[in-house]
This record gives sequence, C-alpha cells and structure tokens, in this order.
Amino acid sequence: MSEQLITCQGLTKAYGHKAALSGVDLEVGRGRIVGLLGPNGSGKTTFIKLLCGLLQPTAGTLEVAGQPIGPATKSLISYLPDRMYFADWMRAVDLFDLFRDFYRDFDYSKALAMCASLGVEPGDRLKSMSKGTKEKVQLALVMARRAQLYLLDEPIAGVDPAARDFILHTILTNYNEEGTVLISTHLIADIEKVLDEAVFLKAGQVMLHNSVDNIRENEGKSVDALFREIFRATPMEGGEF
Amino acid sequence: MLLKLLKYDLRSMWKQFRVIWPAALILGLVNRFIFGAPTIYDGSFSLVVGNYTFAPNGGAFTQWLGVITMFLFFGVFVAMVLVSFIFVITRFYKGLLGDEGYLMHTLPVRSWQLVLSKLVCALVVTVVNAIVGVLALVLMMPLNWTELFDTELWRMILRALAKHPDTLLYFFEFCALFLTVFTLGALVLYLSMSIGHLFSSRRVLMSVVAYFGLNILGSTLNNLINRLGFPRWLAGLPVNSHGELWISIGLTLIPVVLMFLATSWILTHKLNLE
Repeated sequence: MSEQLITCQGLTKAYGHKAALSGVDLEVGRGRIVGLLGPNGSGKTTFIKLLCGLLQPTAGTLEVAGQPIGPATKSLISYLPDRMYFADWMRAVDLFDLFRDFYRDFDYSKALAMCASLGVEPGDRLKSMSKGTKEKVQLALVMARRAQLYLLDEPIAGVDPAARDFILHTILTNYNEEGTVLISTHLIADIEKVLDEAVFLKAGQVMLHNSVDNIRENEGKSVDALFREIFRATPMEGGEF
Repeated sequence: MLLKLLKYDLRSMWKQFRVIWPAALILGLVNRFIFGAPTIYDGSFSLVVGNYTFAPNGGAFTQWLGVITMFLFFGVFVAMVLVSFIFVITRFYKGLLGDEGYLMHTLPVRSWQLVLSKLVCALVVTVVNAIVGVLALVLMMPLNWTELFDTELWRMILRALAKHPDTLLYFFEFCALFLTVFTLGALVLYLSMSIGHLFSSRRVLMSVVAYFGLNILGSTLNNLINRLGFPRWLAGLPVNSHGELWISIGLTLIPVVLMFLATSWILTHKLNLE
C-alpha cells in the first residue's frame, strides 16, 4: 500500500491557452481532512476533476494510492460534484442500487439511515425533489461509502449557515476515518475547525501546503485570516471580493 | 460490469418507451375492432395494406373515429422512430458528455464498457421497435385466428421451408446486415459527438460538423472502393448469395470496430467534462 494517498508531480491542466493548473507538486497522506482552499478560478475544481478522471492532464503525473487514474482509483474515490449528476427518471433508491452494484464499500442501510436523518424520502422521484433535497441525496450517496478518498467539491457553497453546519456534521460523522477527505471551498471560517491540513491554491499553483496547527503556530493567525491576507482583493488581480 | 451498466441503461430505455410501445399495440388492436373485416372500397375513408383494404364499418361516427384512430396509429409509429433517434443521441450525449457523465465516468468501469452499454441499448430499442411495429400491424390485420392455428397452414409453411430451406437463413442474414448497418449509424453519431467534445466551445455545432465530415469521408471511401473494382471482385468470388451477404456484414463491421475504438479512445484519453 502506497504511503501517500495523492501524489502529483508537475501537474498541469490548460483549457486552450489558459492554464487552470500549472506545475502542481503535491502529496497528501491518509487519514486526513484537507481543505483545498482558494478563490474562484484558482483551480480547485479542476484538481478534483483530474483526480476523478473527468479531466485529463495536459502535462505531469497524478496518482491515487500509487496508481494512475483509472477504474482502480475510481473504486477508491467517493466524489461529491458541484452539480446534480443523476437522470430525471431515477429515485434515490435507484441511485443507491446503482452504487451498491458498482462500489463494494457502499453501505446501503447507512444510506437509507442518512436519508431518514436528512428528511429525504428515498422512494420519491428525484425530478420532484427540491435542489436542497437533491443535494442531500448526493451527500448521502457519497458519505455512505467507506471510501479511501472523499472528494467534496464546494459542499457548503450556496447554502445558509445552519445548513452548512448540518452538512459538515453529516460529513464528519459518516466518513471513513482511515480515508482522507479533501474539501474544496473558499468559505474557510466554516470548515477551519475540522481541517487537519490546508492547501492554498492561487492561479493554478500551490501557494501553501501545511498542517493547520503549523499554520497557526508559524503565522500566528487562523487559516481564515491568512487566507484573507493572501487573497486580499486588489484591482486587476482577480482576488475574491 | 457491462451487465450492471446495461441494467441501468435498459431501465432508462424502458422509462422512455413504456408508454409509446404499449400505445402502438393498443392502437393496432383498436383499429382492428373499428375497421373490422376488410370491405370493398365504397369511396369512404379506407387504407390499403398489401392485399387488404381497411374501411371503417358503421355510420359517420365510426368513420370519423376510424380516421382519428388510424392517424393516431401512424402518429405513434412516427413518434416511435423519432423518439428512438433522439434517445440514441441523448443517452450518449447527456449520459456520457453532460452532467450525468459526472456519475458515469466516476464509476469504476472502462470507457469502452460505457460506450458498448449505450450501443447495446440502442440496438435493443431498434429490435423492440421492429417487433412492436410488426405486432401492431398483425393486431390490426383482420386475421382469422382459427385459420392461423390451422395445422394444415403450418404444414404448408413447413413444406415451403423444406423446399427452400435457406429462406430462414436469408431472413437472419438480412436482420444481421440491418443491425450491423444500424450499429454503424449509431457509432457515426457517437463518434461525431465525441469529436465535438474535443473542442472547448461550440461543442454541439462541432459535433454536427463532425457528423457531416464523417459521412462525406464514408461516401468518398465507398466511391473509391467501387472505382477500384470491388463490386466486380465480389461478383467474381466463388461464393453464393449467402457468402456475399456475410462479406457485406464483415465489411460493414470494419468501420463499426474502428469507430467504436475511436469513440472509446477519445472518452478514455481526451475526456474533458468542463
């Protein structure tokens, strides 16, 4: 078993002439909760999609558990995308059936229990569900797996603070502690308390990768304060307002 | 894994066609009772199918009802073909290159399995369409069921088959050729959409351009093969008409395999779900 869960070297992804990721070198270990932090357009989603195999790198190498991205790594990854990915005709239970068929680590009864606690009726058609309920179904799908790597792309974006706490609680009480959770977000304050490590991405490059304790100790400030300092909006720099 | 993928693609297919297939059969049956036995043409609304002339028996109301149900019947047929065409395109485009692709491409399966599953599903739709179409027409025909189950009729059919034993073989060969040609048509669509996906913008437009480009390429190659004397070569081969059919199937399978491999390669090495 590879010691590092994620290993990438010189990872570059360009859309046409525009580089979304540029020469990223990064190693992430096991059993960690890692924040992938950066303003919009910094390359967070691109990095996650490369890990899932939804994008192909322009240059560089990327491995999960010592293997290049492919069916073997996909069986280790539980991915929560930033959009709805199911067909209209499906019900939540159809998706649970699908996950049970394809992922050996999917816990069907846990998914049903999560639906009950999230107030979702699994027999309802997804088409008739509200956006928030659909997001809960996707969260239940992802967290009902005992995955090696959870990739959560902006799980708390666009929801009210109460819902953010609820989502984070669901993630923290259900993830496989032997696996790693990689959460991308720019809402640092809400997740800082649960993070072991932080990766700061700026314009497609890793600016900082360190443990949250080290950041606090070395910088004398919270991750959120450091983030605001680094990504402070300056005219023409494309920072986060 | 392929069987598991097929399970979900076939369920998706059933959701799409669960109304239209039974509707075609029911309308066939409804027309059977409204039009009744074939009658001599008297100037009223009628339909000629082979040796049969269908005309609604009864008064003006039945006449109008006959017109409506007959239009509905053929409307369902047209809808069946259109829905099938749209189904073949959308199940690939939305299912693999749209938002649903976020689910399908993160499953621990190979890209060729995803493509093959969509392709098999498209073929199943075609076969079931053909079966439903034939059944609906049979239901509409004023068949005499007593005659149909008459053992003498079946003896006659068996005698005819014994006299021309390769009739059934021809039937299966033509079915195989039809399915191969349909597979090629579906794969041209799949490859066009995959090529369109290689562009960072205007992907639908580029897919349409790729579709016409592939068709032009196909026609050019076809003309070239004909000019090089392929038909003469085929006619000169020491094979019977069955052999010629199998050679046609085999030759059609060459672009089928190439396009399948090209589509799978693009989805494996060039996938960019942005």
